[in-house]
Amino acid sequence: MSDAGVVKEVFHSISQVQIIQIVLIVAGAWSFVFLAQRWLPWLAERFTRRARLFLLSLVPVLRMAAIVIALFMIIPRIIEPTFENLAALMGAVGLALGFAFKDYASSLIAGIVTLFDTPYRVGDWIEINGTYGEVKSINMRAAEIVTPDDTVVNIPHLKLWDQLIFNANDGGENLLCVADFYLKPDHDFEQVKQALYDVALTSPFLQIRQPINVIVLNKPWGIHYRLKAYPIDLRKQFLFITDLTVRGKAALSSIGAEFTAIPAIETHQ
Amino acid sequence: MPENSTPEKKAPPLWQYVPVADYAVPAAPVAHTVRTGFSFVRSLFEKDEPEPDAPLKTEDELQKLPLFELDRIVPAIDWREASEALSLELKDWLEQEKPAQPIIVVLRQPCQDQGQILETWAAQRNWQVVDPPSADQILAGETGWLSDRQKDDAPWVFPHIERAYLRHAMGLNVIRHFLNKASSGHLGRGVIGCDSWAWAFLRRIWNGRQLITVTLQAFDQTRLSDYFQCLADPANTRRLRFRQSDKGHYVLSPPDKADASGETSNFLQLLAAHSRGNFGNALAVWRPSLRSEPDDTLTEKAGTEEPVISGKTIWVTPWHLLKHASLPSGAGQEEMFVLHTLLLHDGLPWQTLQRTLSMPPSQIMETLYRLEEGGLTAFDGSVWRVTPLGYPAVRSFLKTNGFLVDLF
Repeated sequence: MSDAGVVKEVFHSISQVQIIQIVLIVAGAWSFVFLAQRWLPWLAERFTRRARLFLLSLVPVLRMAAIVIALFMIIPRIIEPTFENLAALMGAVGLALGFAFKDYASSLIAGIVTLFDTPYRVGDWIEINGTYGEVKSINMRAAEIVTPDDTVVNIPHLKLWDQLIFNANDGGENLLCVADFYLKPDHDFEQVKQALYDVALTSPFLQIRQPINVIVLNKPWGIHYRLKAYPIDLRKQFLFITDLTVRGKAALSSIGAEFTAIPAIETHQ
Repeated sequence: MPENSTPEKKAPPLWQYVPVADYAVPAAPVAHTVRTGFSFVRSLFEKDEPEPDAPLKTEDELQKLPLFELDRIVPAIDWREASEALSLELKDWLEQEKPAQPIIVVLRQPCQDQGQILETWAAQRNWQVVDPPSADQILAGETGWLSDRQKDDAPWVFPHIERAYLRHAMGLNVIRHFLNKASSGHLGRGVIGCDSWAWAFLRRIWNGRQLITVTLQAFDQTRLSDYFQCLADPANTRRLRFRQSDKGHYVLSPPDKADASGETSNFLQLLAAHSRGNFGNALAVWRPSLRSEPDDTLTEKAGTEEPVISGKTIWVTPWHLLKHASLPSGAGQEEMFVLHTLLLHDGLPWQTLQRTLSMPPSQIMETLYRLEEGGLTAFDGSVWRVTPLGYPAVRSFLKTNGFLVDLF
């Protein structure tokens, strides 16, 4: 049998009514996806914290559901849904994708995996390949993140396969922030630890229900203090770190602690 | 005590101090809660409220009560009864010669001047009142203000411990020092008064021993009814009717037995739930909700303090028509920080507020004025505070946004 004959066997002769039905299904699915992408983020902004993150994470799930349902409705209108026909169609599509759109198909599949494996969700703060930002949307092919400098970065889902993904809050409301302080070694450690602890405790940005920790590291050039605490709103993490740093420096100065700078590393030629 | 209290079931005392864990926040009627939930969803999509049914008395037919009349029906709070209730709760502790716990903490619900209860109580027992340190002393970590107290073994009352700290990196040492000394018995026997928001914060910054904490029991529907009845009619002559202006339902129990079959309003239940049992906040809503007909006002007799009252009706604005203070649209981080800081300190002077917030002074002032316009904060000449009327909205706003809130 010729190729044309196989194709003719697989596909229906599509009537005008079926074309209209397919157009309506596509339009309906597209409208649903459009509304979900537009209204759920709008609605999410009217809620706070947990509800907001939940609503945002619904967007890609609803989009995937709409596409799958639309495909299930369209395919029987185009081909006879027998096992042989479906296998032939899938084989042809798979071949085409495998050669021509390998990376694109890989991203699409990785996009589906993200919905179930959830390495990142909308609202998460992630770092991939040195780019840090908030996941604003998870599209079919790529995730869109916005960096603290308000730059949009599109990261193809296929990075999921071979890149390390650092997720700072992992779908939760808590995100650890760290402020660093470098002091000359001659000081009262307990007094400095208490002062830094109180700096975090009195920050208006602090999520007081989460623990505060002061970590002390002994370095060749002095003492490195790491003040770790959680902000009340993870979107305010940089303002929180700024607040900790500014007030921390003032508090340490007031108790007579002296700051030091990390000396530049000398290169040996 | 009102006449209609049932003899079989003893009504709870109006003023009652209980351990903090026993504080029972009054619940709103289920129907109202469901309706509020629906109205929230509706408010996301609609801007206008649906028109209610025609009321029995329209707002145009009624007028606000004149101030003298309002002061007659809802006079200033007499703290002596509360002070006696505190003595009753602390009876065992007072009778012990050397109690295991040298100090007792009396928590106050916010936005009301319950500090006067402790001051009245201290005056009645002739206990020494401890004054708080100044803001400069707090920030300098000076503990000298306690030295007089340490020399003297006489019992003491510190009515406003929230004024002994500042949410500032250098503002916690004084309060920690004081609480350590007091809880270990070095300052002798004492009673500490503390605002509930400040206490919620102090328990996070001070890890000392567990202290006995008591508070005024919540004013639920029954207590509010008894309280308002007592205020309006201290002689129990039952000459005033309190009815809701839309349907005529009785808000307080009717004076005549013939009227007893009339329907009663759930206004007080809603008020108790709205104010979370905080009677200061309940009073702040109750006073402006009262109306009278223009020709039905009490008259002030020349030369006498007692107005003429004869079977008058005071009309109470229905709950859904009351204007509750709400956060300005777009309220965000600045509003949260300012409101939270004010509540944690039970109000602050402007200069001290600047020291506790990491915000430019102009931004703080702008935020305060914006909140003042919305009726959420007020300046009393020296201190900025959250208003009793605005408090429920503020508490809900801060809680929704994950801030530390009080127990009440």
